[in-house]
Amino acid sequence: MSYGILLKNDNENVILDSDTSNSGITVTDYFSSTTSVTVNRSTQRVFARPVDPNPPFIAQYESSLAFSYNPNPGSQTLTIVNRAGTTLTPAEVIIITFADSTSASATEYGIKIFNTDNDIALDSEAFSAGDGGLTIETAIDVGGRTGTTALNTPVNTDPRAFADITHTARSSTGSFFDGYLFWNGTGTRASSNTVDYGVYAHNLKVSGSTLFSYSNFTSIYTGRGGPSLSV
Amino acid sequence: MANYNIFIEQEGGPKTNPVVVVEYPENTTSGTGHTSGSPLNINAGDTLTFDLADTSVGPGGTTISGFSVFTDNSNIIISGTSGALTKTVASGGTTANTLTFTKASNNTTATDTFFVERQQTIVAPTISSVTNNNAAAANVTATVNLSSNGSGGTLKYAQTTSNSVPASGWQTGNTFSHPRGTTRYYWASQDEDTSGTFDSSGAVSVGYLAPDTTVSISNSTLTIGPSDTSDSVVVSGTTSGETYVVTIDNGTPSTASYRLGETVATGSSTTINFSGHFPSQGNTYTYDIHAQRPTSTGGDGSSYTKASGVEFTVTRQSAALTFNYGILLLDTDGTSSIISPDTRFFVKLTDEQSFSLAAGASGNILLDMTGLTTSNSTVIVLQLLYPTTFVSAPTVTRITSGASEGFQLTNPNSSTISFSAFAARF
Repeated sequence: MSYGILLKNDNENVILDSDTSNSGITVTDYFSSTTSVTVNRSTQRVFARPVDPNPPFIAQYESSLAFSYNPNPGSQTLTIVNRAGTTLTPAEVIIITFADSTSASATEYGIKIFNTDNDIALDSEAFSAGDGGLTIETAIDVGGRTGTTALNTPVNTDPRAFADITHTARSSTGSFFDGYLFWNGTGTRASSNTVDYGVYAHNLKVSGSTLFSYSNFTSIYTGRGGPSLSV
Repeated sequence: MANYNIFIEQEGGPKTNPVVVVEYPENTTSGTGHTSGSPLNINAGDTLTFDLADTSVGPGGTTISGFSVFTDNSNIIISGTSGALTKTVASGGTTANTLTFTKASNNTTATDTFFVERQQTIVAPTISSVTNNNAAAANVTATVNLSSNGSGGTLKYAQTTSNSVPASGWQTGNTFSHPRGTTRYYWASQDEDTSGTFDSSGAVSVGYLAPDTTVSISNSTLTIGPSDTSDSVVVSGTTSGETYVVTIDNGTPSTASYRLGETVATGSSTTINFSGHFPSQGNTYTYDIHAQRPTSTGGDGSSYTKASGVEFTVTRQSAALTFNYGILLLDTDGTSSIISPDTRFFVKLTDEQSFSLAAGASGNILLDMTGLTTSNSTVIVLQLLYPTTFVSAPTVTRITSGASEGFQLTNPNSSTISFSAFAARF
C-alpha cells in the first residue's frame, strides 16, 4: 500500500485496508431480547442467538431462529420465529451496518478511516455506545450446507455463538423455503437427538408433502460480540 | 371322590349253618378286592357303601370288622333292617386294610374278607412370599417362605426362568441365587409334581441398586482461562467403585459424546477431569454430575443417575485486553472494545451488484483476489432466498488472475435466476 492504513489482527487476518474500496462495519444496535428488528437487508446484517441458553423445546431440544417470510428488499420490520414459523422467539441481537452506507460522524475524535471511494470504512465514534463490537469466528461459503440440520456438521460448535440470520426465512403455511439456523443448546435433550452442541443450518424446501434439500444461498457467518464480550 | 358299592350275600338260620360271600361288584366274587394281592385302591374322601345282596336269605346280619383307614373305624352290622351303611376313607399314608365279614348262626360262623388299600394323600404347600437379602452384589439370595408346608411327601423347592412348573431340578433347601435385573419363578411341592400338587410364587423380579448420588461440590463456580481446554471438579461423598460423570446441564450421559469426563471413585472424594464442551469467552455453562453403579455391587453397570440439585458452573474468562502491539479501539463509552488484535472484522469488499443469469451462465464480481481464499472471503447473496420456483444456489468460483479475477457466480439451474451479491472478507 502506498498510503492510508492497513490493520491486521494477531493472526495476520486483515481487519481493514483503506487502500481499497473496503467498507467495515459498525455495530449500530444491540438488543438483549427482542422478537423483531427493523433492518435494511442491503446495508445491514443481523447477528442473533437465542436468549435462552437452555432452549425449552423438550421434544426437539433446540432453539431455531429465522425471520418470518418476508421477501421484500429495503427497510423492513422482521419478526423472529421458531422453526415451526408459528411462535415468536426472543433473541439476543447485534445489528451491524456497513460503514459505507453511513456518513462519518461530525465530531472529531476516535478514529475514522476512509477508503479509496472516499466512503467511510471505519468510524469508531459511530459504534453504538456500550453495544460492543463483533468478531467473526466461522464462515460457510455459498452452497456449503445442504438439507436438514441433523445431517449437517455445525457451522459453529459453540451453541452460544451469534449467527447471521439476515437471510433466513420461515413460513408456517403452504409451500415454503425452510431456511433457518438452529442452536442445539444445553437443555433437556430428546433421546433421539444425537446431534452435538452447536449452531447448524437447515435448508429444506417444502412443497405440499414433498421435501427438497437445498444448499445455503448465501454465506453463513457466526461470531461473538455484544456488550459482554470483548472482541 | 368315588363311591364303591360292596354287596354281602348271606345265608343261615337257627338250624342252618351260615354262609357269607362278599360281592364286588355285585355278583362278582373274584378279582379286585378279593385277594390281598389285588386290593381295591381307595383315596381320602372316597366312600364304601355296604349292603345286602338281593339274594340274601335268613335272619340276622353280617358283622364287618377290621376297619383302620376310615374316618369311623367301628364295626358295623349289615342286616335286612340296617339297610346300606357307608364308610368314608380318612386321609393318611398308603395303608392296606383287610375287612372281615362274619355271619353267625346255628352255633357256628362263616367269614369272608375284602381287601382295600388307601393311597397316600399329597397336600401341596403354600408359598406366602419370596424375600431376598438385597445384597450389594450381582446376585441376591432369595428365600421361599411358606404359610403351609403341605403333607404327604417330601417338601422341595425349585426356581425357573419361565412360568412353568419344572419336572426336574427340585431341591430341599428353600434358598436360591437370583441375578439382579431378572425375573424368576419359585415353586414348592411335596412330590416334585407337575400335575397340580404344587404352589407357585408367580413372577419375582429383583432390580438393580441405585448408585450413590448423595454427593456435593465444594466449589460450584469454576473459572477457566481464555484458552483453556479442560478443567476438573472435586466431588465429595462419593462411593468407591462407582463411576461419576460430568455432563452439560441436562445432558444425557448415555450418549458418549455428552460425557465430558468420568472417574471411578476410589474413596469419598473424587476429582473428575473433563473437557470438550466449554463456553466461549465471557460465557458461563452449567454442568451436572451423574453416577453409575457397577454390577459387582448390585448396579446395572450401564445407566446413570443424576445427582439431583448438584450442579456447578464454568465461566470462561475473556482475554485480557493487554497487549503491546496492534490497535485497540473503544467505543464512546470508553470500555467496550470494537476492534482489538483478536478481532476478525467483517468487511464488505465490493458494492452490491445485480445479476440475471440464464441457465448455465456466469457472472463476475471483479476483485483483486490477492490474499483472498476460502478461509477469509465469501460472497453474500441477496434477494435469492425466496424464489417462486425451486432453484439451486449459484456456484461460486474464485478466479485469482486475468481479466475475470474475482468471484465467478454460475447458475446451475435450467432456468434464469436473478439476484444481487457482494464479496465479503472476514
